[in-house]
Amino acid sequence: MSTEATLTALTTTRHEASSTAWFWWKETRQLAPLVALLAIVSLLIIVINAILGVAMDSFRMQLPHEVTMLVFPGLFATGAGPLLVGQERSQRTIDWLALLPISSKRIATTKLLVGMAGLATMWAFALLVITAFELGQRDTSHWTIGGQTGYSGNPFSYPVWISHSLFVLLAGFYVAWRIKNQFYSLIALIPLAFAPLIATSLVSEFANRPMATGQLDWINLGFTLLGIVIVTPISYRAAIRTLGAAEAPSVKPLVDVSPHSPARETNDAIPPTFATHTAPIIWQSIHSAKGMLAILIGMLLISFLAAVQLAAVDRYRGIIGLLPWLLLLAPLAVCWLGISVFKHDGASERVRFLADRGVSPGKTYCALHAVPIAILCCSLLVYGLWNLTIVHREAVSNFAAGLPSLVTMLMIVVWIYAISQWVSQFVRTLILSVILAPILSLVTVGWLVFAYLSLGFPIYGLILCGLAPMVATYVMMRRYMDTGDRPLTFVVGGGVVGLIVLLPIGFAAAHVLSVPAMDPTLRAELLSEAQRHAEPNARLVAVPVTGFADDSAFRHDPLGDKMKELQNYLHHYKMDPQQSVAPLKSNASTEVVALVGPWEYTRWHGNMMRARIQWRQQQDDPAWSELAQWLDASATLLPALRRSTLLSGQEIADRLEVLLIDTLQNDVPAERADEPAVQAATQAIGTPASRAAARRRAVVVTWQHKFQDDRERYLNHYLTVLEHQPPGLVGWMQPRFHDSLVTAMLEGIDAAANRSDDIGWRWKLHQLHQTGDVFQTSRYADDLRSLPAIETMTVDRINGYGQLWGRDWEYVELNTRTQP
Amino acid sequence: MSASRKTFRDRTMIAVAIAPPIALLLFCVSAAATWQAGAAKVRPVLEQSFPPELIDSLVTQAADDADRVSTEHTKLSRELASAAEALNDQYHLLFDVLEEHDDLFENLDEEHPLDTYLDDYLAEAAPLLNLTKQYANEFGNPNSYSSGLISFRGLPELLRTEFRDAVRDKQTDRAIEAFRLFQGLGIGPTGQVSLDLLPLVTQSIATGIWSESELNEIVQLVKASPDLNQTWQDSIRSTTLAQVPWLLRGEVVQRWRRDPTPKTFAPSLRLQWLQRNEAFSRVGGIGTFDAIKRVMKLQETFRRESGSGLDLALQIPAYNQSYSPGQSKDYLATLYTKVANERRHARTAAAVAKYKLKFGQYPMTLDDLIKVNLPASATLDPLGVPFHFSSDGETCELGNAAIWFTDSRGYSGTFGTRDGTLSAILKQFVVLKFR
Repeated sequence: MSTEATLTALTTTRHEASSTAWFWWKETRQLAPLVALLAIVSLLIIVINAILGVAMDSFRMQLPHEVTMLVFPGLFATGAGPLLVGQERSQRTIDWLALLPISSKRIATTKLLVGMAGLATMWAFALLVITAFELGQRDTSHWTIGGQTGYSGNPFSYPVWISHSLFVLLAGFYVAWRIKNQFYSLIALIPLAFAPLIATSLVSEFANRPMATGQLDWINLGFTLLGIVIVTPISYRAAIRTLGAAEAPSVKPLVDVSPHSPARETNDAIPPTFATHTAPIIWQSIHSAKGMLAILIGMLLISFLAAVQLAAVDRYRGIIGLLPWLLLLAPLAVCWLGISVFKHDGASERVRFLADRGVSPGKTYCALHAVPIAILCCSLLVYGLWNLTIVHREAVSNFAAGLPSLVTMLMIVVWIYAISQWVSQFVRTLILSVILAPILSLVTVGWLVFAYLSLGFPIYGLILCGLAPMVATYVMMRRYMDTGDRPLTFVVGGGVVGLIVLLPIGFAAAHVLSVPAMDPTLRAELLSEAQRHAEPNARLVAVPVTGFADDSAFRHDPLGDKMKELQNYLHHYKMDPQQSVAPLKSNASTEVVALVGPWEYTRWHGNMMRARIQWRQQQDDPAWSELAQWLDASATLLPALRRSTLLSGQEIADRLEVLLIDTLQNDVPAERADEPAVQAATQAIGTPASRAAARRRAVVVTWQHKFQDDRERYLNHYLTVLEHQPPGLVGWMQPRFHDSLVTAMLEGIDAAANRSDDIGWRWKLHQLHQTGDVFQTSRYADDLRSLPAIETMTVDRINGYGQLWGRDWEYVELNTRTQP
Repeated sequence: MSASRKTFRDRTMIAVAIAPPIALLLFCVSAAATWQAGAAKVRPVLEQSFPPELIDSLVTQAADDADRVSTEHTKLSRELASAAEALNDQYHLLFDVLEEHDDLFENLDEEHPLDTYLDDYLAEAAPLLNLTKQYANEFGNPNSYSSGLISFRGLPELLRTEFRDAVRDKQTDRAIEAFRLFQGLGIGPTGQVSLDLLPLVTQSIATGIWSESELNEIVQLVKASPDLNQTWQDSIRSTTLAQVPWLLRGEVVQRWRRDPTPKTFAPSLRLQWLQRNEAFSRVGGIGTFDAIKRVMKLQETFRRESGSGLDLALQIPAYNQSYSPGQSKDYLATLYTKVANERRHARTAAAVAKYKLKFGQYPMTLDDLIKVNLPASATLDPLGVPFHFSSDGETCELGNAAIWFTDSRGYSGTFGTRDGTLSAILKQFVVLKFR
């Protein structure tokens, strides 16, 4: 690309006077792809993040936006030097440039200035995005050093980041001028880039006192500025030396190549002979990229040793604090191993060579992958074996306790490797692929982990996504070898991206759609039914169970005098049933609806029980009148509860009715059957048909309100089945589950009205309310339903609608009913 | 480069490329084989402790306790529980005050400001108490089998209040009846004050209201309380049984908070959990400080060692899965030691009271209690030192430990100093003042 840029630039601008413009133009064109790529990728991440934030309301995976934006200028700084200098050196265009009547000084400074301008552009872009998306916390300034650091506060200090990226840029130029091999120069850049951090940790390691993060920030800035001061002149010197006259090559003795010479056996310069096709390609893979492979193995090894060390200590401070950073070398090495498949020194020449010899693409493909895959397998094996020997316990080492298992590690390695090797075939420039591959791998791993955790993406899907890039490069292999891959590779690449992005979404969509939605006509019918029933003039009346005007009238004071509280307030807690239903009675003319929650009902239930127990023991008039009060009040409460369009109201009404029937059956003697309270209570007992009507009304209205009350609270209702869904899909699935719930409940209401033993609706409700449990022991199964409701119903909470529907109590013939 | 005879170099090159993937594959295959073999082992281990039909029973498979139905859940106990609960709710201010007033038994002859409230409460509770007495043998503790259907708090609180009031009124027959009924509820060792009557009984002994025969009955009731070793093993068994779906199939049995991360659990991990539970159940001498130490030592060992099974490599997502149900046993061991000490304290107090009835004055030392047949072993605190006791014959003091310990912030696990240990186990230094 740089050759093209140089040549086109040469043909278009010939005038001496505009040579500065020409030179700037040429360098800028060389740098443009990097800037564009980084800008696009960073924007994509932000946009994806924003989409996820909107789509996944209940569960989202937060990528730190600000970090994303701050990292990209750093990546640019890393790539600029190798791209502007390293690439020209490896393609030898720099020699041609040096022959032009441009001074070395000007070449060096222009390249550096262009790099700096690029960096400034990147920073302007990053800060623009940060401001536009309001990513930072606005209440604290980022333009300070050493202040407000810590976990809860603001960990970013823009001056430190900016000066560090400048340092990295200069260091990048330095290594690019010094080291001809692009890959080596990049490797050398890594420790150089972290040098200020390392120096800072050394200071904190050998300082006598522990240091606050703020102080370390200052020291870090100091070292970075020092680094800039040191690197700038040496980088300039390296440039001048490289652009100057090269040293004459030293004379080497000629190699004796005659086939019968004894030297032939010992001379390494002559390739060995092989009898198979594959073996020489493998041999060549190892020998042509010896240095690179050695470095990558070294990176894996360093990372492994860091892990070994981390598993043995339980606190990270000073130098140990740097070890976690070394762990990042491993994914980077995996990434670059993937890149080494198609992009190492002379890789393209080699592929050309093999293509010319007629080696099949399949064989070439396998041979190119053989060495990196062997290295990865070895590493994984070492990881697996090492894990057999260490203790995975927080008590011993937090690090060891959190280690992913071998199979998890394998999956992640497959993703990173597959994506990287695809990038290395797809992108032509080494430096670009070296920078792009880690970003894309990170995004892919993040996305797939997110898909697994919160979209319920199955494991075979994960494997499929991991293998797709491998298949893509395989398919493209023949064209790649013939360098005719260009238009098609975009199509295949698009396919790979599409698969990785869309497959999890497709699975999620299928999962959501697997819960049937309600038939539209039925929905319309039910909605219009709900509209009819939602009566605007119905009055909701809370039923008080204490003597206080409302709950807020008395607040318990933990420091107050308890004795005084006892004296003043004890009598308020005595429950008078008539007083409780008084608000219902006073509004008797209008349609009043009682509002009773499980807590209020528990008190009602218990107190009525007390009256019954008392009556059983003292068969006298005071005891009877007490019970009669409760019967009478319940007779007022029950119809008002049945009028409720809240499902929870119907559930409470069911319980109250069970209690009333049980009382009338067991505790009301025949001679008292004529008493008004008993008559009233008997009248209040509904019929299966009336209950069915009330329940149906409540079901459709509650459903229409999405199971929320007017303040958008879910009333005593949470569907267990939702807890068993992938967290990211809960928001999408909830309406569908509500539809199924409503359908099943409507079936149940009909079944209860017709006294049918139908098991279908009970099974469905069990699935929704007691997901994962055994049906036979469930509240919807025959075992429990055959017992009397009064003995088995929950009083203090509603755990699953419709438990009491269609059970024996509904069809009881009350003897007292026969009385006039 | 015609394919003729393979040279040594050919083989080396191909081996270099192929050997690592094959080795990794072999590793994974053997891990899978270990997984299979381990999974097959779980059931036989379980069958050593439980009959197969219990392992397969639906009750074990039902995750939610509320689903379990039992015949013990008679209509009666539900009625009583719900009625008592409602009444106690009405009087919750009284119960708040009662927890703060531990001077109720100090002077029985003087009027106490709470007396009228106690009387009011018990007047309203009379029918419930009658019913309880009437069917004393018919109700058990519904929580022993199942929870969630009804709240079980009302009846114990009712009986505690009845006991308090009876002692205030010096009506020992009423008081001992309440204690008898309370013991009949079959509440296991508990740290909840409202579910424990024994400390109140011990306090009442110092008032001197009890006759010798009643004291003997109290001692008998204390002795007949469930054996702590047995209860300990039962609790471990029930923990294990509750985890059967996890042990057999790796399904997480946890209702209150579902972990959204899908996880798998290697069989070696589950077997290890079983073996650890087994090791806990083998700890003898529950109720002693030694047992706490043994349990803590076991726990510490388990905390620092992890399974090294080959099958762990196939767990998703990590080597160490954070699901380890029912592993904290030191709290239980400490609680049981507290309960055991409460029992010894009660027996010693009863012996002191008996001594006074028999010889007309209090014993001068605890050793004198041998005269009323109290073995010296019953007068020791958790650290094996005789209870604090000082006597001048006319009055005496009996502590629930050998020394005054002041650190009341002790929690399970602080066993550094003598003070700390006692405070961690007993929570509070209680002194009975006999007059």
